[in-house]
Amino acid sequence: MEQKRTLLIGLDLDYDYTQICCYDEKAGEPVSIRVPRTEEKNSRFQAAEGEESLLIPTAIGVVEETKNWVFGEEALRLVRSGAGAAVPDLLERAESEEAVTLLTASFLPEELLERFLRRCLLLIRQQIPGQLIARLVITLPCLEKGLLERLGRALEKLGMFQDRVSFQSHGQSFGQFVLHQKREFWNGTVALLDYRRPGLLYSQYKINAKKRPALAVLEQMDVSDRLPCPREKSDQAFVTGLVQLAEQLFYRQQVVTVYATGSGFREEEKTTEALSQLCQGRRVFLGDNLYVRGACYYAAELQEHGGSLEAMGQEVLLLAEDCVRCEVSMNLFYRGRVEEAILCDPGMNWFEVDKTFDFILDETDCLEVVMRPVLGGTTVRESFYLDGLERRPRKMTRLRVRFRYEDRETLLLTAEDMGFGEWYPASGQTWTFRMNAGGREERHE
Amino acid sequence: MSKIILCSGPLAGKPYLMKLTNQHIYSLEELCYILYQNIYVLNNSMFDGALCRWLEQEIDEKKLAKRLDILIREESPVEEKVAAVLGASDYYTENEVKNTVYLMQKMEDCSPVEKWKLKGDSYLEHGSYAQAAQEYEMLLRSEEGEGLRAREYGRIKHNLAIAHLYTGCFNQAAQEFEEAARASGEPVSVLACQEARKLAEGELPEYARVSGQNIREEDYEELIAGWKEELRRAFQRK
Repeated sequence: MEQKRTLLIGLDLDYDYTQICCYDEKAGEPVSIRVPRTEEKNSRFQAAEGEESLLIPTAIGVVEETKNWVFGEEALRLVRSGAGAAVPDLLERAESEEAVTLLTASFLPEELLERFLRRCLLLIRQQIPGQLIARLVITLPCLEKGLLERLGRALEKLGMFQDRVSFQSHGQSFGQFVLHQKREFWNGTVALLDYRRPGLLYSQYKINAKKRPALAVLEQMDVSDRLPCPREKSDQAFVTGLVQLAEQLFYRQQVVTVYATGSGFREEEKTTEALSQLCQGRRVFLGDNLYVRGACYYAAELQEHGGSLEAMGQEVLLLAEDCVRCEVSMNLFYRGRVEEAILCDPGMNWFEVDKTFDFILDETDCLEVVMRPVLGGTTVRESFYLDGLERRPRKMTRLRVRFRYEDRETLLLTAEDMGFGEWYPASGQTWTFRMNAGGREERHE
Repeated sequence: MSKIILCSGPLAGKPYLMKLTNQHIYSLEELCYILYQNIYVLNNSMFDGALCRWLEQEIDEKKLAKRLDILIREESPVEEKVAAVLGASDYYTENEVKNTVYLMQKMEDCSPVEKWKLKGDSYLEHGSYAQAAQEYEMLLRSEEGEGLRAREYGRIKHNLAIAHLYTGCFNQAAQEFEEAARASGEPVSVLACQEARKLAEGELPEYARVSGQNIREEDYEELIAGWKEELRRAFQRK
């Protein structure tokens, strides 16, 4: 029987733990993939031995005797028992290009990632047999270019190509999660306290519903240095310190909902008391799978709209840290008249923007491009001249223009002369232009 | 007015061979161009299942392929098929498509020579004087051109002279107007011949003489445009 690609998966690849969710289309909700636990319980959210857990330690290892690869808790156990070698900090290692030696062999980070992800995918297959993955969204603490490339290569080796895989930052997944809750939960500012190994990360989405689409802009602040140390303070002093810090962060904000997540909240029971104090006048939720659920919701959204963020016609435009904040347009002749056509929408991760359009030049050798910031600010208009373009009669030049970003603010345009059929063969001429709010740069090859 | 046209689809991996011109085409825009340039010789046999399949499979024009398939099955007139193809792309404006269809309808009962002349006339009307002259010259040299009646020959010569006039070949134009007048006996060709001779001798027409004095450089383009308009009025196409 032919297996259908129906699974919509969210995967949170975090420094300490990995979580997986699968979208249940009937319920319209993500459902967590659980792993059997074989270790003693070491936090209040974790299941005890024999029970199941949502958390898979982001670790990979190899057993010395059998040379078999193990992941998650088994890998951590290898480290403790010395029965093999393991990488307990896989994501940190994968952020660099350096090879890792396990037993006697050396492995590139992407090879370790591939082995880890292979086991994650196997876990999905074991729990939901007979179905293949239609879309996978991986959420990460931060979207570092090198890490994404390594992850992309690892996934390609597993047969998961770009058309089925997307990456999100935790900030974006938080936004997706928020927007999939009841509207009254995000009718104002929504805050997130992520209390984890590096410290406390404060994130908030301010939602401006007056705009169409409404704008949800992410602001993030590392407040680790302002966090009272639980080891040094008494329980009461820690609670008071945490509440005071949160109230300072919420000052003059209409915070309607607070979410709390991370290992700090998992492991420090006294944080519960602090959270209950923050409940006054607002809703507070404590949970462990916010990011993975957000990623899973996004996978479902992408699938519904054929993999295109732009086709979503979003009611709320999420602008997380890596999201492009400008719409890019050009005056083009299409549908029978000259109109300003939006070629790149805001809201996409800058490194995911890669759009190509073909144009016919009619008595012009100039591309006029407009970058309009959605959060206000000056609209930038630039005219890029195709210097040296072969002279031809009207409408006898087809130009292929590719739009990408070099960073969140810098648009990179590459134009290529495609000629016009057998009448005028492509000349091979290319032009490169850069554009941002500050100015531009041109290169002609 | 200069503009940038957004192409409708990708370039084909496999080109389509247009038997009409024995050329390979890779896009809808190229197909439009070839149809537009050859409306005088188009026929129903050009639109077949192979073209529909190519549109659907190679350049992702499913809607157009379906529409064309229906038109083929309904044995619709060729101009409807041309309109469907030209209308699916922005390569030609709505007016250009309408004019094309109108011209094709007008040509339905025309002889091959008349169709050929209409092609030249269309170039002339749209200001493509060199192409117009080329078409008229080819027609006059062709087999079909040998059997022309005097009146028809005179009309083609008259229009050829206008095309040459606009390209600055005043002597040639004057000579062609003279031949046209001799063949057709039309007074307008006689008058045009006299005016063309004046131009050839460096004598500007009344309009240009008046406004030609003390011309500033920035007014030159405007003057030329006005002068051309005067010429258009003086030398009516036959």
